[in-house]
Amino acid sequence: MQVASPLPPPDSNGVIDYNVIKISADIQENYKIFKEIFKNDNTVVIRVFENQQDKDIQFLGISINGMVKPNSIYQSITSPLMQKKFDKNESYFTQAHREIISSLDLSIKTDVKDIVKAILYGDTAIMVSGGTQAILVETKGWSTRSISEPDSEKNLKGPREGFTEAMIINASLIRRRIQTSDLKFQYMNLGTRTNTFACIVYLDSLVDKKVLTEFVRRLEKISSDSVLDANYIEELIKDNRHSPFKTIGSTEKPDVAAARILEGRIALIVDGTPIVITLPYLFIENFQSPDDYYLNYYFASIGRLLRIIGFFITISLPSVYLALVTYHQEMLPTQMVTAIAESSKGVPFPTFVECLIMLFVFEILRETGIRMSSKIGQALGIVGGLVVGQAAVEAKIVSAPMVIVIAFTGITGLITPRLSGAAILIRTLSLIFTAILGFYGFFLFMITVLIHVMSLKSFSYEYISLSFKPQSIKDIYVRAPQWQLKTRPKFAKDKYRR
Amino acid sequence: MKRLILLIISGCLLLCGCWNYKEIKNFTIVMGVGIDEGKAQRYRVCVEIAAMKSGGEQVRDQAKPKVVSVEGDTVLQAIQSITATTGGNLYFDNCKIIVLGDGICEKGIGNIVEYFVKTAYFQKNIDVAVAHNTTAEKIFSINPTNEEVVSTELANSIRSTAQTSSTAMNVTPYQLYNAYKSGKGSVITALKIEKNGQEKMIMSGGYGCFNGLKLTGYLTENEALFYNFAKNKVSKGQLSVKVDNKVSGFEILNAKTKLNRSGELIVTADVAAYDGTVTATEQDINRYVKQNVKKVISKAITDFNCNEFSFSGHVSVIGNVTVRDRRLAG
Repeated sequence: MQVASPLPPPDSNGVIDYNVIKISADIQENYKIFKEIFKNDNTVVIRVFENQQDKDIQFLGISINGMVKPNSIYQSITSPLMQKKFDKNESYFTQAHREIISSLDLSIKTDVKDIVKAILYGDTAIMVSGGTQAILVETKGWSTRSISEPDSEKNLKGPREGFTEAMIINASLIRRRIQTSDLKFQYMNLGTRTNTFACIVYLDSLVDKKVLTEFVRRLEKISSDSVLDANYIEELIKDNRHSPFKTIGSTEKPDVAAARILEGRIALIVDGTPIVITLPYLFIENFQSPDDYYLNYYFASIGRLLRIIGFFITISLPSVYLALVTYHQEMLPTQMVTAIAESSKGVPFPTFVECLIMLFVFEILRETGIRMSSKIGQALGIVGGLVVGQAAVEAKIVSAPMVIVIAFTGITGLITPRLSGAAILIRTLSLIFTAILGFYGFFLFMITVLIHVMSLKSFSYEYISLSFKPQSIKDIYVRAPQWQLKTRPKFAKDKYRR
Repeated sequence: MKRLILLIISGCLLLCGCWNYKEIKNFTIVMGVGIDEGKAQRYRVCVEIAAMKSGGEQVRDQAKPKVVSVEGDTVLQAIQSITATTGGNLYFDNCKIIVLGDGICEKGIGNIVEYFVKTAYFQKNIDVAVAHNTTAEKIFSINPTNEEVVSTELANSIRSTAQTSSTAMNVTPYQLYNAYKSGKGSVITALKIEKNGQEKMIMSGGYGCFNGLKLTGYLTENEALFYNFAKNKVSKGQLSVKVDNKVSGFEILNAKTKLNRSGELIVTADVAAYDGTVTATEQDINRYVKQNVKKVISKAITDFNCNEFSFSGHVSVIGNVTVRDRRLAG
């Protein structure tokens, strides 16, 4: 005979609305409910236990194996509940909550949905006979990766700590850098199925409240059932969703996140990923590096200028080369014309096709380099260098100048990793335009890109704003000395001065 | 309606460019053009083609530039015949020099100059030179001394002669064309073949004088210097002053020539004397410069009927040369 389930039937998406269920005063009843909720889940520990002094006082404890610290459950929950004597004149639930459970972080919840969520996040739920609520005790104890330097954002000087996958640890890393009660952490849940914890971090006195409200509104509008990484959110709440340019920043370094929060920006830590997103995000941030502020300002400024020039080279070099050798040969010095013509004699493809082939090969090598284990890296270098470079030139499949052009394009593309997606797109499209119309096509396309970038906004702030006042450009093309960095960006309108 | 406007705009933007896609590897790179009088037909055009071997190997040392000559009734016809013989598209954008043979210059080069000015294939700053008592083809057959290509050497030689000894001038086809159209005469730097032991060398210096783009006579290198004084084209150079059969050498430091309101040509210059053999005084130099400038103006204007100045052959010249004495005292 089949026993009737204590749970309501699931909706069309297969999700059960737990809020319909009420916690019963009978422990055995609650046991059935939670056993049903966590059916077929062997990691969940559900146990009914009694007080040794009075066997009528029963407790139901629920936690998840591997997510909790077993010692702390024993010391602060099960041991006191089983051994301490309860006063019969007072509610057992209140006594357990106030006197007996010795943990500091306690909360009382009535909604089964909240209770389930807390259990799944490493809390221990305790129900006491006679009580219609649950006590949630903070017993989180899952293992996380230790704090290490992120591979994607290495720096010469300055802090080497990087965010980890645990939100709480990440929050503490920011908190340690900005020790003021003005720093606010607001929790929220994202993803209807993953129930991912996220935390909005900002400085209350500096943040633009309009941006904050808009950010929260957009987050609340997310209807996706899974949020596994910050990029899920980034893509969903971006201003111009089809733009290849990032209008929301991301970082793996707590010092960078802290610096951005101190400029009036908002950060969002998402549990399960070391990537913290920050906003508003400006175009120039693509070229900024934490090292800019840790190194001497001359050196930092040269580095930043190189990054800006590098980006322009990586998007335009193949197109400029193509335009010069197929349309505007008169712009090249005679020796260069002769050298290029000499080396491309016998190459079977038109320059444009040659260029596309080489770009394709470079992108394949780059992608392989990212995906494979670092031990094969040297082999890839040899394949890339010898096969694609020397052998291809000797076999007259590509010309030597083309290899140089693509190699330089590739190298400069690596200077600005945050723009690499946009760079590939712009580079390829501008190449096509140039192949059709020469320099005219190149500039036509570049103007289109410029118009697009100029029209972008990040949370109502212009992605690129043109100003020539010294304080507005102090940290744009070059990094001015620290004593000259007097004002914040305009996100913090009221508290403009640092 | 929106689509129509978009179509028109994109049509305007995409269809107004120059659709002149050409692959660099299909080029036959012409470094210099020579034009002589033809035997069977009116013109004999020769082009110097840059040496090229495929594959980008280090073979340029062995490869030598080629000179191809073809005759034709027009320059264009001859050039097209060359394209037919070489196979590749003739590419003139990097052409350094146009050398005109002696014979064709005497017959008149109006048509030739007009072709080079009006065709789109040539750069506008290309040099023109005249082969003094020889043909352009012979000039291109001489082995270059410094460069791999004769044309580059010729262009470099004219430029450096104009800068260091002021006996040559960079003349472009459109300057000749403008002078011709305004009824003025013009001069073109002359190239000569000189013997250096067994080897033959090309020297630039001196001018061919043209009236109505017909060659009327030549000025020597020394005359060319004074002609440049008259044209205010002297920058550097050396001045040899002959007084009582003794030659004194000076270096020209700077020079400027002006025509004042009363129609006098005032030659102002700073010259330096370095050694003890210099005997000429400032007055001697001034007299010498004055005489020679006057002589060369008169020769060009009266004898060769080539006047590119704004004054006549009877202009009075005033020498205003200052000597910077850098000889050891005593």
